[in-house]
Amino acid sequence: MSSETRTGSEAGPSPSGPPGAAARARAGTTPTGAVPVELRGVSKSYGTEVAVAPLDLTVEAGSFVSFLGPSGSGKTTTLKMISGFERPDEGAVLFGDRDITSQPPEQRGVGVVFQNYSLFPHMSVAKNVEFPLRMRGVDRSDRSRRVRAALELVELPHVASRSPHELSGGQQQRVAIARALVFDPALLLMDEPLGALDRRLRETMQLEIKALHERLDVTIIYVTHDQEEALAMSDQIVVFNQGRVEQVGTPQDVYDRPRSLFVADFLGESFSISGQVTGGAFTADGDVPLRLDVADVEEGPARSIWRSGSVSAAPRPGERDSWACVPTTVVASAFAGDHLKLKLRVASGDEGIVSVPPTSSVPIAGDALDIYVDHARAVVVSASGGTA
Amino acid sequence: MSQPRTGSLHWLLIMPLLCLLALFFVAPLYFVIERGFTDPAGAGLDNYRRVLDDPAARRFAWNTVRTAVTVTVCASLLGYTYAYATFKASRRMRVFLLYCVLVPFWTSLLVRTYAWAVMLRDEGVINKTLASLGMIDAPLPLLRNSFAVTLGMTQILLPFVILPCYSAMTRVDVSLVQAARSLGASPTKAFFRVFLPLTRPGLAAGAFLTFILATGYYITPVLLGGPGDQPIAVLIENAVQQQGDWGLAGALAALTTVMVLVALMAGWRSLTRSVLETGRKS
Repeated sequence: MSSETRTGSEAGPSPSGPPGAAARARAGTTPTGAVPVELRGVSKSYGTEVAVAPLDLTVEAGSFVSFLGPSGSGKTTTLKMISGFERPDEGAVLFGDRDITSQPPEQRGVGVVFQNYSLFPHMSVAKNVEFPLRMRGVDRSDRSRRVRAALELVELPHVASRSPHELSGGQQQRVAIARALVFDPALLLMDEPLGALDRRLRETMQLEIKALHERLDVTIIYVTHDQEEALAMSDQIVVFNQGRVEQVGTPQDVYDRPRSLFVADFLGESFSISGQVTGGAFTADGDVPLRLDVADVEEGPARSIWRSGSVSAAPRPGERDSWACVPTTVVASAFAGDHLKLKLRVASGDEGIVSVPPTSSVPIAGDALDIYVDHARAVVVSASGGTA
Repeated sequence: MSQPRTGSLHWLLIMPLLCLLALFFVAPLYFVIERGFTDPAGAGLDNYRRVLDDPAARRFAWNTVRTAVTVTVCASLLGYTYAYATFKASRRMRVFLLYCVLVPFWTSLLVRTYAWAVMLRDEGVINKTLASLGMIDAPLPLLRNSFAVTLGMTQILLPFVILPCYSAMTRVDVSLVQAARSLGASPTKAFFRVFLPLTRPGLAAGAFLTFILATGYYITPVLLGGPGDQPIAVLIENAVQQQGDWGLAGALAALTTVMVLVALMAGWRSLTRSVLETGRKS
């Protein structure tokens, strides 16, 4: 996971300012600066189906924000309302203090990168990248200079005269990015841009896109259903579920402190135990000896969630005291080199999968195993809200 | 997009069609053209000289080409527009609009041509309606002229443009048009810069089909046209039926075939190129 956790508010133009300005000077334009995006109570329904329930969201200028969620969760519809391909039923979309709710896409000046690249097959790479400049009436000499600069930015200056179908998937997506950036948009929207690439290429491209964001003065909104991608790239993650925003926060926030079981499940492996919240404390169901002090959780059924990093099968000395011991039965186990993957069942019947540091012997199905969970890193969420 | 080689198997599959073509198309064509050179005995190039020296033949050839070009242009414009409207319509409307294309397609050519003649004549629906509305004093000359021929043939040949155009449109990735919009193109510019070029193969195929079919049209121009609209097919029919002059008919048929082939070759490059492009895209 990325160690970078700067929040949107800290991520103004200043950190990426100077290199961004240099890139702009090469591209021959005056800097306009990244733009903040604000959604005020926007909603969208298709017939009786609610795609996006009224939604308020602010994306800070210059930040990298991911919309994360399963398909049909409303993240792409929200993106389309920002790009202008969908009009919200209610609410307003603002770029800075400019209300663009009723503006058509071509007047918004937003760069969009699509999942399937969407390069024009009847134009060469150079013509593709030149397209937005032509639409803006940029004169010829300026055009060719900026096309070259944009292709250099994605390290593909040598493919200018080729046809898109002659390029690999990764190259096509880089050309699409160059085309979306060539007119210096203040906002770049990326809709699952790496979805069609294989895993290795995807990881390389993640780093490249992040590096581009560091260099350029641009706000990026990035739609993905891949939690690792969102965690690795974003300043802020917006988790969508069933047309609603479940949680907004830094990658560490949403990973370590999920506000609902859905967020916990969607962002990676976790182990959770059902119980009750009464009088400011969580008590596990059944005979699981676990009691946690909680705040801000409504009384009633609840679940306590642990990430893999806060669960151990063989705690180090000292941890034994501060960590709670939970007796479990092993349902399945797998040795994965630097960790053990365990599917466990607790007395109350709950099952979950955790990765723990390897122990001297690998437990097998049916074994009883005491696991230790870190009190301090437990998260308790109400079972009534936000479950998938 | 090369097909994997399957040896001789795929040749076997198209053999029945090839046999049929050889028997009922290539062989008759050969005999007709051969007679252009051998009838009467030892004719050689005489029949061709007769055709080329005959001002009537030149005029009829010109009629054929002029009508075919006009009809192709009209059908292409109308057909593409209709296909686009269908493509943009709601799903139920789409089915309805496609049926509107197909139903006349299943009706006999002769019936449709007569229907046009009935509508366009002096006592026809159009003239009567206009007269009863007081808009005209004397009937408009709608029948027995180029207007009637163009109108009738365009209507009859429209499906040949609409169907390939519509099919090409459904294959266009709509996100390309969206991409164009997001890059600053107005709806009009996105259409002309992206959508139209991508559907050109369908339009080209439709236009070529229309042109080839229009060149050989016989019944419609004869029934709807005036003396200045008679196609070369009339001369061929005349030569065979009235004069029994198979040699002249053969020469005329050969020249018509060559005319179409030349037109085809002229457009062949652009047609094959655009067809290959769509193939690659998918």
